[in-house]
Amino acid sequence: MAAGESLSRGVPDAAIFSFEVWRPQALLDPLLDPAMTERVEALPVWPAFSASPQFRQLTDGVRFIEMAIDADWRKATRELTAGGMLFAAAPGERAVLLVATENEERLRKLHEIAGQITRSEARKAGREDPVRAEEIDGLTRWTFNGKEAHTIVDGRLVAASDPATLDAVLRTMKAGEAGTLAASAPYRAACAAVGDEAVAMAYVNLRVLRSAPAVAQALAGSNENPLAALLVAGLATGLKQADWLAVGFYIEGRALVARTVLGPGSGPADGPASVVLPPAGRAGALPNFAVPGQIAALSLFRDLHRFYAAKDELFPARTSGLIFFENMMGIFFTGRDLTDEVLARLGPEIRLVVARQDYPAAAGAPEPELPGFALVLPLKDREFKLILEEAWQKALGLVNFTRGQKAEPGLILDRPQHRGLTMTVARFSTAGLAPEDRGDTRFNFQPTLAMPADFAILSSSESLARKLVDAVQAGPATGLPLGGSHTALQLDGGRLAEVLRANHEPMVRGNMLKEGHTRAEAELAIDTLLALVGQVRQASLTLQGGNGPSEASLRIEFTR
Amino acid sequence: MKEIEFMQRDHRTAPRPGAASSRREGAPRVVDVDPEWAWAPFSPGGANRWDAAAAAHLLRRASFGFTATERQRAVAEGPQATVARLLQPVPEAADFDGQFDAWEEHGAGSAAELAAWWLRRMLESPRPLVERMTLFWRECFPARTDRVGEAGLVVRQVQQLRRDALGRFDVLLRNQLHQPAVLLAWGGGQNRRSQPNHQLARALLHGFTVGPGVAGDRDVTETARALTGWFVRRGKLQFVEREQDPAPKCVLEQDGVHNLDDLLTGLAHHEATSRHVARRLWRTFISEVADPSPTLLQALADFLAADRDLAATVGRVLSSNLFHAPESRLARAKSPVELAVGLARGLEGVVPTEPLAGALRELGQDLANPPSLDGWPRGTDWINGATLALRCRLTASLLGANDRYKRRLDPAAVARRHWAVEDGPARRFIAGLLFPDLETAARPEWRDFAGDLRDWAIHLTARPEYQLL
Repeated sequence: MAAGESLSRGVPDAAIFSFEVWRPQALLDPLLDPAMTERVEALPVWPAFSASPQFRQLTDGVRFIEMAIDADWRKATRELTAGGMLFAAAPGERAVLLVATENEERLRKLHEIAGQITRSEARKAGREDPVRAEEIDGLTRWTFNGKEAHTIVDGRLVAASDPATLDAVLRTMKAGEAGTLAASAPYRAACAAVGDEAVAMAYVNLRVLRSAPAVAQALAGSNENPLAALLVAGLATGLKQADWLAVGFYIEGRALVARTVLGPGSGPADGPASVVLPPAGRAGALPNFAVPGQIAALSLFRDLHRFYAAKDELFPARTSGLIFFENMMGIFFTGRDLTDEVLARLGPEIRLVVARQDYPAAAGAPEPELPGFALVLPLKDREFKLILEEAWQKALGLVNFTRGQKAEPGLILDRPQHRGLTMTVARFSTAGLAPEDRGDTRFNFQPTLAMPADFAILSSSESLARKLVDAVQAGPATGLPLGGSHTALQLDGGRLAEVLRANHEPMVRGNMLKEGHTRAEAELAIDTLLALVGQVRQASLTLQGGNGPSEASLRIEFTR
Repeated sequence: MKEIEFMQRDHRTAPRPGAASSRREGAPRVVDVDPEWAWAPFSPGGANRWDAAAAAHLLRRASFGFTATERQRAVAEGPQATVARLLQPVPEAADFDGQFDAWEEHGAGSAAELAAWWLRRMLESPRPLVERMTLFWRECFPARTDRVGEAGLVVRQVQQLRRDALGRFDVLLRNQLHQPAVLLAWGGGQNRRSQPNHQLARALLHGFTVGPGVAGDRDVTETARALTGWFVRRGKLQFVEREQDPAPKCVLEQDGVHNLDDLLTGLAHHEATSRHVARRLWRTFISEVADPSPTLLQALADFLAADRDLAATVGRVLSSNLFHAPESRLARAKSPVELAVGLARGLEGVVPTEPLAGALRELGQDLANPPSLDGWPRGTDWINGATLALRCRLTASLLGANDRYKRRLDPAAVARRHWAVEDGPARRFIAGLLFPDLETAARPEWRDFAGDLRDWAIHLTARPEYQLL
């Protein structure tokens, strides 16, 4: 952290945003590793890219610089950034970049080459020499385009958006600690919050940022959409109340972890967050399911009953839309009160699972092959199961009626058994269909309701519902809540890549229309996307806080 | 629009000898020339030059724009050989259409995709005249996807139009009336004996065959009876014999119509049908600002009626003296499709057609949903103050003013491919490609223009005369 602190000593405390890399080596090691080179070279796009004139130009340029500075680019990158980097921005489109090197001589050489290249490009374009140097207080300052200004001082490159900003930074560096970002209490608190293990930190002064009208407007509007408010509850409250936001970046094995901390000022949640998130002292979201073929899972703690009961106060402008929704629900739930007779009977631990589907071998997979989606809701009383079953069958009836009006095939209701449990499954029939018609998109859907133990599983896919019944009956996954977390998202990169690969053909066709690519170009683009997605083994996002300060943690684990 | 009208007048020469035209105030000009001369094959000579501008006129109308190479080839081949080549099947077309048919059918889930794939075909087809004629027939059989309810059925209708576009009219008509999309679009999914469908009958008479003002209410009723028995069930056409009205009908004074086949045979052979189709061909290929005299139109209708051969009729129009007369040039406003696809083809690029389909919809040409029985608007109806601004914005976007079309059109690269490398020659090349009808001296002055070749092309396509075809 020492290096980072020393760089932030050069930044005036007017900065509202900063991004600092304290341990560049930790970030560079995996990026500059030969294994990474192999991985990049294995991308489908690599042969075409490496044969392009632009790539040749780039490699020629790198070789020239390597010769000029007498070091290969990997070594030079490590040396030049060894002391850390800091980028900061302040109101009025002012920005500064500080890079601390351990080899000032090489930095000066590189700077000289950059100046030569700039001159040469200007000459080629018929423009006058844009490189200017000026000596002020014994220090040489340069500009390469007449707008930015930079200098090299004490082994650091200091580049600013304009000369006045450079002046301010140099004055701050000379004056010492007072008035610097490093000395400001919020920044220090942010550094302490992200801890010594962080390799980098992003810092935002929320108090100043909120004074910008566009930001204030965006935050004010974040509570207007009930569904959005339900999903991001807590986050918007935190951003509205906290003095600062810090994101610490950590390297843990093959994973990049980002943890967000909101500074003091983030008092108890208000607005939607105050009613849907776990109250203080209450356990949070349940652990996510882990079923075969799972692509993504989301676990939420959202008290829908309290949320809907407070709708008139939370969303006064949406009352008529919500009343319409409530009336519609009244049809399915036979006139029961949505708040007290329906939502009150559901627990707040909601889980969503997305997984690859299994298709009957005889029918094959439809095109496109869509993953199955399932919502798992906890039931507070088992009597509610019959009410839910009735509502589900009414909804299917409505679907069938609507499809029938359009002369489209309807769903056939079935009540199969799975592990002693009766499920309600609706399937499209393949009877009498020609083989080529069995690949229709509708065969991705077999709406299923299963209610094992105290849960209701509403799934778009029969196979996913069966897997979830197995998971619920297996027990442990329904167990201990994730202490204090109200949102937990997990994504399996490998599985996502599998699903995308299964839909390779539709994606290629879509790419041709969206991008104007030829068939070969579209295949290359999609193959590259698949290869990149496949690099992510697991990704997870956890939000904590509820009625207290909010925290978010993102973890991306890469494949070996 | 005043400026456009001015440009049109400016480019017309004096009427040719023997020609007469009359015009009431506010009514279109009537072209009344000797039909024998008008539809005779054009032979260059004297003032009738076969040059780059003449070749450009032919390629613009017969396909969607042209590349510099295509124009060069046409100039070298001459008018008759060029028309013959445009009409002739090419071996690669079968593979091309087969591939696109498969892609379209797999992705036929939405109207947006239907339009996007069709635009892509227009950009790349090895037989652009077939695509041009497919669009022509789509205007004649304008089944709206939102009324059909299933985009896949409209995809199949358009594919059938493509297969029949240059075949025989009676076959085309029969095949269209056996398309579920056509029946559904005009409420003809159930043609019951007890409740004949007048809506489909009216469309068949007034739109697809004899045209407006020929058939009376009784003909509509009798036609509806002749359509009975035909149903669309689960996207497929079915004939239900018990629902057919077996009594003979009399349509357009022709007795003995028992069923749909009799009805369609009679309508396809009716002289008013030939006139109606000939009038549509006139408006597409000859002029939107002038009408043909009855004798001129009848001569073309007679040619079509002889054996209903569409390729021969279209070939006759495209190679005629009248088509190549200076009065026929720039006598049409480009539809949005012609504007966008013509620009992209000319600059040898394939642009993303999904956003393009959306932009064309905003301009009023939704390929999946023609607005009326007459297809899309025509002529100056396309252009007003608001649409002109939108059209210019579209051409600028296509040319890379923003990233919407991924900057796939690159005027500089096209100029380089044609050996116009330096600034001046490159600008002249682009101006010549976009404004082939203007004499070099009348083309926009490039020397005073500050900006790169992309800006130059944007500047050129924003000129009012670029809106003309």
